[in-house]
Amino acid sequence: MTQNSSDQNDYPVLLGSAVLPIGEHWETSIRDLGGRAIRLALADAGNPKPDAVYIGNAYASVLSHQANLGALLTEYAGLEGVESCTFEAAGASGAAAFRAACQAVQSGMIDVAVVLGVEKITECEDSQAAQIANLELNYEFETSQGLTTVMQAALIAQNYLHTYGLDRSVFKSVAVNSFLNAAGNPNAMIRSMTEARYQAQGMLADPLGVFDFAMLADGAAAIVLTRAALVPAEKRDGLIRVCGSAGAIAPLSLHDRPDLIHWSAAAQSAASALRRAGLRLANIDLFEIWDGSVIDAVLALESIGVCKPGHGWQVDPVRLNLTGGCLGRGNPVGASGVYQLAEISTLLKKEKLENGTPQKALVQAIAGCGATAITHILAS
Amino acid sequence: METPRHWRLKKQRYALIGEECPHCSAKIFPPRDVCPECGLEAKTAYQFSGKGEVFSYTTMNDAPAGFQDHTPYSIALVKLEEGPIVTAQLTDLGDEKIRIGMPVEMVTRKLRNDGDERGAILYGYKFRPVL
Repeated sequence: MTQNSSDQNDYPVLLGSAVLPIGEHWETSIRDLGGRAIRLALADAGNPKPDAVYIGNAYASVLSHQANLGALLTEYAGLEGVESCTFEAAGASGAAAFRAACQAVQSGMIDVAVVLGVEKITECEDSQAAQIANLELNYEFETSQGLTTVMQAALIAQNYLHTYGLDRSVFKSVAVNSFLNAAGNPNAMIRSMTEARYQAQGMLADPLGVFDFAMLADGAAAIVLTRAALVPAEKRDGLIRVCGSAGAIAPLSLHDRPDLIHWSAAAQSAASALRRAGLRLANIDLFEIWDGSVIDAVLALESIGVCKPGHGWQVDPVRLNLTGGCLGRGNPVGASGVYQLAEISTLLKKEKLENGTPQKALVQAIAGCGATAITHILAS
Repeated sequence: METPRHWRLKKQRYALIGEECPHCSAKIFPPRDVCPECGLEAKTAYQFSGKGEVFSYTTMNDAPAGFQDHTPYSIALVKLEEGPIVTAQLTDLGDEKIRIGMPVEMVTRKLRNDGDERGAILYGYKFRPVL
């Protein structure tokens, strides 16, 4: 199904969600993290019987030496017999699983779907985890030359600053916005930040420093979805609905891209999601934008059209990454897409409940410095 | 040890052999089945001159496994004279400061060891400032 139906009753709606604190969960296995998030989300949703569990995960097959999370985690959560498998799209894995769940419930093939994002980073040394992140590059022509995900972001950032005649200080506002917003998120990894601390950071790969990248960490988050038609009319009004969903890809390797600083996948997936929702950018109240590195956020904002080219670093703190983003929250890579959606839906719900204001949010996950982008539009 | 892979890539790593699209004459590196310019099938081998300029660059202070011996090292996106961009390390820099637009040329250098100290030594292209 490529087109969202115009029938309001077909829209996916969020019945419940759960997020576990992001951090270094030495004492907890991937099985515990995933199983707990599934059970907490189902409890939050009023314990409906799920028909499927879709899992977003990027690194378990290497870092946890574990494949087939579908059977492992879903059975561990007490759901033997329920259909389940993993979706992998590096940083966009969680968003990919969520999009699959939307397609499943909206098409009528599945009535209740659980989306789980889970990542267990701390089973090994930091350097090994960083190394595994390089799996998302082209191995034969990038990784084998010594390129890493950090250097990839740096090559793009260097090209960006050169093109617009800027210096690296422009990235400060993007990073500080996310770190400050994370202070209000009880599930974010604590990384206290001041402008002075940001400015004194060490360089990882010029022009980007250690605070320009989200820290990899463990995490699990889950969301329970169904379609509106299956919810009693009187309860429907309070639920968050998914009114648009779209994904797109661009060349994986930087050397295959005609333009390093316009991210076509980010632009296409956002435009398609908005079109399917029947909305324009001007209708969006909140933006949850991927900031695995500061340059991700800058170029996503420009490519989507929120900011003009060369101005993506001039952030609007009232509307951008109120959850803290990946930078502020910490980045459990394959789970981060589910964190974005779960936390934004909680904010939308709270605003509706407290102030009666319905709002719309654009939530975008990006993998591989713009190679993959998946966008969802949520509405209260 | 990944012998088939290293054997398969030898023409690219040692001689910078890519393709020329028989339909639109676009030059392509690394080789691929579908021309990125015109979308038709591409398969005619083409050897690049190895001359180009730095399109973007960065220097890594925290190297991944297999590359620690060379830390810090610099990687560039090199725009070849014929058009394509290649991801490669910069070498033989001396005191020269890297800049965007700097003319560079391909040389063959050691890339890394494959596996431990008993693994095969991998050679391939790097780029140096034009002599």
